[in-house]
Amino acid sequence: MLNNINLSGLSEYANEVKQNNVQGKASYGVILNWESGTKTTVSTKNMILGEHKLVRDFNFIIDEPTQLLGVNCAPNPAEYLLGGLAGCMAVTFMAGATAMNIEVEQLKLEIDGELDLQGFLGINTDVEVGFPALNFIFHVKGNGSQEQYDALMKRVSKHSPNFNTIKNEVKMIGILAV
Amino acid sequence: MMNKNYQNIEDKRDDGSVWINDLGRKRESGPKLLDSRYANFGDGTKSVHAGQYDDPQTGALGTPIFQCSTFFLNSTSYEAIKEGRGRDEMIYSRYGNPSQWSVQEKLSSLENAESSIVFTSGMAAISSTLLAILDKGSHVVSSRDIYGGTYNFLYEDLDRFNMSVTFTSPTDIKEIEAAINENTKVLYFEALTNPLLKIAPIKELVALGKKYNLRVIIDNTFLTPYNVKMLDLGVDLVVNSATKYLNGHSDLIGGTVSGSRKLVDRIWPQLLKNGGSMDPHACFLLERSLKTFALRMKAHNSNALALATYLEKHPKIKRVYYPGLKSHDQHELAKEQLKGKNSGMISFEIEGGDKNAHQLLKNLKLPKEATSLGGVESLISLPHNTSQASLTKEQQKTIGINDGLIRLSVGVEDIEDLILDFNQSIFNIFNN
Repeated sequence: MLNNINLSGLSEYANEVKQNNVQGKASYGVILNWESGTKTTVSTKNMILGEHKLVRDFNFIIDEPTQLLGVNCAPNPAEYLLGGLAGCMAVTFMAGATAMNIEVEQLKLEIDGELDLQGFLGINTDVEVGFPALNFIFHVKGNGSQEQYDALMKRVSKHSPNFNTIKNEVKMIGILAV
Repeated sequence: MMNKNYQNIEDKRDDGSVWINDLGRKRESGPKLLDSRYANFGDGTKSVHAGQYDDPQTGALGTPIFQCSTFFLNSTSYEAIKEGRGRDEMIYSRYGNPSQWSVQEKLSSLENAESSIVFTSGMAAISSTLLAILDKGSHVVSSRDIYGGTYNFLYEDLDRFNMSVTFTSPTDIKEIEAAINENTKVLYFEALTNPLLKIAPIKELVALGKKYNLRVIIDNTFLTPYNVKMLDLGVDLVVNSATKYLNGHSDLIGGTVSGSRKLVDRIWPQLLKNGGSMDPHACFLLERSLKTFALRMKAHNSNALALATYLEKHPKIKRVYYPGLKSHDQHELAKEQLKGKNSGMISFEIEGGDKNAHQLLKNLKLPKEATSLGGVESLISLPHNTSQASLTKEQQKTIGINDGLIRLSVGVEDIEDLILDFNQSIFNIFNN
């Protein structure tokens, strides 16, 4: 299989969704539990893909560095956010590269951003609380052409779900359960 | 044959203007050598003709035995491997072989399935199917009455994969629903249980599957697609021990799974990892045996009804379990679900317990005292020391395996001969 991606399976799935849009519906969720201090654990909720359950038996720990009052036992929320973004962009890039028949030897993706914690701390209400900008670099080695890689970068910004969740305005609907 | 490319996207690849929605390959039934489903024909015709590959080179009638482990590679096979569609090409016999495809197409025709796989045993089919469909952390609801080999796999091995199982009654839909939890992924039941011939309520199981977004997998070994086509009832996957009725001659070990191409394609990589592809010679035997499948099943069904009726009237037989008898606990469901095709299996309890049961097996001249079932010859055994031997006495009692219980797979001998044989054998127990 090229890049260890089953292109036939991808094609068959895409055509299944074309015929029956429900098969493209994927529900996601996580449950976070506060452990202590800045440490939390996250478990993934089961998904429904199309009409069937996928059991998602995974969990991970989140913490903060000691300088930010944590015990530094795991990546922090901002790093998970950037990791989730990079992972999604990489999947999108690789699926597209495989469809273009590009053999990729190496893909490395760097994302960098700077937070001004004055916003979090409430010191200055004029600063942006979240990342005002994110810089990313795709390091690619493979047999694709510059033209193909340029097209893939555009495709990533167009088709990566996490990229678009961060780039676009997302309705945030919260309720309190006490 | 499958399309060899993605239909007009090759020229778009170079300038990068292709995306996933441009990919053209769709799922098709198979894999197959030619279209030979006989979809609109009856089971007798399907049994004889479906899947058969008459050799175009020599004109030889009937599927040849492709006894080879490997195939010449060429640009088409390399392309298939690269694109992940190796299941539709001849590469290596563990992946696929014309003898396998031929018998798989016959089975798909009989099951009304898009796709089937043949395995080296029923347990290979069952274990690969479950491992392919279950995710890490998944839970299965199954039945306490299930075949011992399947029970052992579910009970002893699932937790190694961080999976779990709850065993329930195979008939009580409320108990089955109550066992479904957040991580339940599969309802796994036998259509007709061994040895007490309890009937799994298939339509209700399928409705539960839809309600909770689960997959329903049914082992249909005791009924076969001749008696009930499980996929027509909405079941996701049907498995069979081909060793039994499908082959029918007690000379082969095999297993099958059938269902949508989408799901069976997910089982195929598990087969590659677990091993268990059926050998070409065994495929030939199975495909040839299946030519008489419908004929045999007719005879099994009618002989079993006649013998069950005879045994129920016999004063020395305490109880007969057979779905075709009015005395069966689920006779109404049997009428609806089995539609008069009640299988060739009978269980019954003889007066005097296991001692007389053993004596009966010794006295009988026609049925062979052996485990297994579904052969042309009648086979008879005591479940407590064969198929259900892995259960404790207490567990055996819980599912209703009483002292003196005998399981009979009624063969296709003349029914008059079978009844005479049982008559003399029972008479000799109580009059000597």
